[in-house]
Amino acid sequence: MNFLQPWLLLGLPLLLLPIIIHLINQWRYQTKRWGAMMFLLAANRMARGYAKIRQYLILAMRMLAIAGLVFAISRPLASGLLGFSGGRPDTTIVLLDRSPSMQQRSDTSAATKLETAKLQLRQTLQTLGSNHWVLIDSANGQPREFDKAADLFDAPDTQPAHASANLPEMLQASLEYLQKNRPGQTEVWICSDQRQSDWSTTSNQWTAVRDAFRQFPQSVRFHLLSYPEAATENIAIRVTDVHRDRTEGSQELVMSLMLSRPEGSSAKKTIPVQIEVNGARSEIAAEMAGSTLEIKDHRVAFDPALPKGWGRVTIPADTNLLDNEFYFVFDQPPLRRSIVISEDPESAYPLALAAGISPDPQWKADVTRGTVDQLASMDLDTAGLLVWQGTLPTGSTAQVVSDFVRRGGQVLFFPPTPEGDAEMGPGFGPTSNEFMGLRWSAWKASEKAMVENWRGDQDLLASTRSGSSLPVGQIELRGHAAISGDTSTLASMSGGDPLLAKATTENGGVYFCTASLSSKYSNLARSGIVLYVIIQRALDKGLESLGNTRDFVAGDSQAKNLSSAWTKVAGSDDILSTEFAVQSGIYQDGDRLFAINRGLAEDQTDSVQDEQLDELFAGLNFARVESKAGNVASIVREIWRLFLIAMIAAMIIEAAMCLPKWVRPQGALA
Amino acid sequence: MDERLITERKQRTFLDPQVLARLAALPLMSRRPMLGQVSGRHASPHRGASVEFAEYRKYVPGDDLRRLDWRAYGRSDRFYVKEFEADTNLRLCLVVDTSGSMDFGSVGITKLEYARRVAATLGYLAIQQGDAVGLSCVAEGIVTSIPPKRSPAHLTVLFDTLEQANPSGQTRLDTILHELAETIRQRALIVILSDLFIEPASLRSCFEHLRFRKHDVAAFHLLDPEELAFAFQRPTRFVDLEGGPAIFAEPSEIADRYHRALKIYLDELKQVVLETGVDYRRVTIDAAYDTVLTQFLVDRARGKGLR
Repeated sequence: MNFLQPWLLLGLPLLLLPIIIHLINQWRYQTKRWGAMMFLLAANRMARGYAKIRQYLILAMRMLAIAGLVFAISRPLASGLLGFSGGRPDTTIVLLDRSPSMQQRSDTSAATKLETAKLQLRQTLQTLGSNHWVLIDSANGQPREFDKAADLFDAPDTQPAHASANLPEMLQASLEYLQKNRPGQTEVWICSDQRQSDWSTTSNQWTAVRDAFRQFPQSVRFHLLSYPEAATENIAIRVTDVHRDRTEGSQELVMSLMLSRPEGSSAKKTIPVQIEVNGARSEIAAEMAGSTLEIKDHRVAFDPALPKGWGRVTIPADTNLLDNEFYFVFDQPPLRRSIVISEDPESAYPLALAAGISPDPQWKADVTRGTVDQLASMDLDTAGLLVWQGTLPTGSTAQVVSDFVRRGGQVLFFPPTPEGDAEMGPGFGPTSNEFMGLRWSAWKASEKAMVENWRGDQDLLASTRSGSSLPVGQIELRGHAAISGDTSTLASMSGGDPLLAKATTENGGVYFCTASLSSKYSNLARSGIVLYVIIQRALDKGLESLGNTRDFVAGDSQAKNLSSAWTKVAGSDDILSTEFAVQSGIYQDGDRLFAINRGLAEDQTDSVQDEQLDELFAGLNFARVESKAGNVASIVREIWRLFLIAMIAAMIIEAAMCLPKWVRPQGALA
Repeated sequence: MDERLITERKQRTFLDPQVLARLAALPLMSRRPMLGQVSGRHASPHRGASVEFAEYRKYVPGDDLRRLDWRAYGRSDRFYVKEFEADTNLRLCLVVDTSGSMDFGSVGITKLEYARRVAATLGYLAIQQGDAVGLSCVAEGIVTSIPPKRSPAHLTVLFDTLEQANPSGQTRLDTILHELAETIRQRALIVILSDLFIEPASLRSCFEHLRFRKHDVAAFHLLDPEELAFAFQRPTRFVDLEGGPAIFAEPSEIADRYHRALKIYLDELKQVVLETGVDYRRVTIDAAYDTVLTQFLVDRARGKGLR
């Protein structure tokens, strides 16, 4: 049980008052010399049964009445959520998951999970009170302070968003807020539907955040207000691919759509899908029998006079309105232009070959090869990818490369050609060139090393659309470079050294591949598949910054940077300009069009299990309460009235038991 | 004798001359035939020389010829002897309980003092009508025992003994009554003055024993009004007057059970005295003892309660 005024429980020793009064009363006895002891003894013998129990009951009722009073004024709460509360917290931080999955309604209520969470949390926090109120919402991720709890949930930051949540990031933000402000007792309330995609349970960030909170000197309690109820009749739609038909004279868009619904749904259903392209609408009927339906290469006519355009697909309203719509933009694809800088012709050849072969014959590709000295004369503004093999750039060259990255270009570094098995050759070692805080620290020769782990779920080594893994495990290495600096590993070899690592950047991408392209040290170039995919995917990402249209996942950091100059073309009327990057829609900046949509993970319904939660919050003061959409009952409720009623009942029972029994008139005995 | 009594009156607080004068007119009668050695006013089981005709009996050789009824012989030509009732005196044995519990009294007088008054008055009345009076003061045993005598001078001894009786010790009345039943050889009127704080079952055997010995038993059950009412308010530590362990009690809580126990006891006792033919008198000591005695004497004179 929890109390709003727990210090009033210090009055519990008053429970002893009836006993003390009883003892004092006994000490004030009179002494009577008495002859008829046999009747007293007989009366005492009779008192061993009910009469003795009655005495104890009267005493217990008196103690119960006092206990009821003490508990009532301590303002008890009916909830197992809080653990033992130390009273009014100094700071309350609310981590609010605004992701699309929180817009799920239950089958019996029109209220969404997010609306229910806000309602329940508002009631709870107003009951509990706090000196400071802080909101960290999943879309912005930054702490905002409020004066009172009611303001917290009226803010636009609490409206539904299409951006996914990142709980580790949000906890990190709350940790940084606490470290900066050093408040007293803190309550952290997490409102979430426990989607796996929002919690990123495999993220290394959890360990760091958990350890930091454990070592935090102030008391921090975590409360998870969870809405894990799965959607039963919800269908989500997304456009997986859209491009103009590149055949001569064609006036059609080629689209691929995907409809998905929760696992286990197998009832046949016909879903009317509306497609709008540049204002022209058409409809197709999608027959859905399983949990997913993919419509490949659906052709939609459009005005070829327009070089670019946008569109959206919608399905009828269901239990989640935020996944019934998907926006897309299209344009003539830009030239697939890459620049290969290499100090070693043997390495430059496979790189240029991989960059120069377009995955679609209708797409034109162009590769410019050169050396470091020639870079200044090359046109980087029209290139999507820079492949760099050799000593890392420095000075003005490094500045040019940095500008390229900042613009959105992708850079893929390969190590310099090693000199035999020597660890420290030109370009290696602590004194070698450094780029963005990273350098080739050494060359490590080995007998035969294999790649053991790689990220198949995202980035350059992600599995194919059909789900097949890349043959990264077939790469054999007889030497590799070591990197010093802060990177995130995408593939690692036996022993833990990275094969492919990514530097942290705001825009663009900087990758380091530690394998040499020389056939002497690896089969990366000879087998070719992995190298080709890496380069083409990096090029695709780089080209995104060059085209006049671009797709962003809601909440993307690059979109946030760009969104300040955007104007809305299509989307919900309620969207604030500050929220463009996290709300689904079509936005425009000059000639460029941007489509913002929810992430793919939002259509997946995997939930975090309770055991995983316990592991994530191991060692922390954590409690979880489960609710569901449409539940208007407060999760904490003051129950002092119950204790007051108990007190009154105890007093009435005590009074009734104290009533003197009817005594036979004395005359009957005499 | 009158002068001596006047002297007694001056000394004995338990004697009231007015009460004695009022009660002098009432005889103390036995409910059963007595076996006295001298003539008195009480019926005897034997035939004697009183004026009250009893029966005719056939003459048998050896009978006193002076007792032949010649008129009956004249009418029937047979010899009949005319027999008359014998009148004899009474042996009054006063058994006064002097145990510690008799020292209790809430109305300005203790039960022992009340017993003294009753015993002294009865003793006086008995001596006055020529009966023998004895006294036994009993507690854990027989504290004092005075054999029955008819002499008026015996009253002084009796009163002295009563005056010197001190309440102490436990009640062993049941044992003592058995003992008295065996030691009082001739039929007697045994008057018990006690609070009878003994289990009724024990008393039953005592009374049956006395009845078996042909004694006429009367019991004055002396109770204090406070013992009946038990109307205490504050927590009270009850100290046993007979030396037993003290009991602490909340009277308001225990009163009900006390009354229940008292009622059970009184009901059982009533049943015992009814079945054993004891002339039982329950007396609260706030009642005037002369009234109690008047009723006692009148009832006995009328033969009430005779079995």
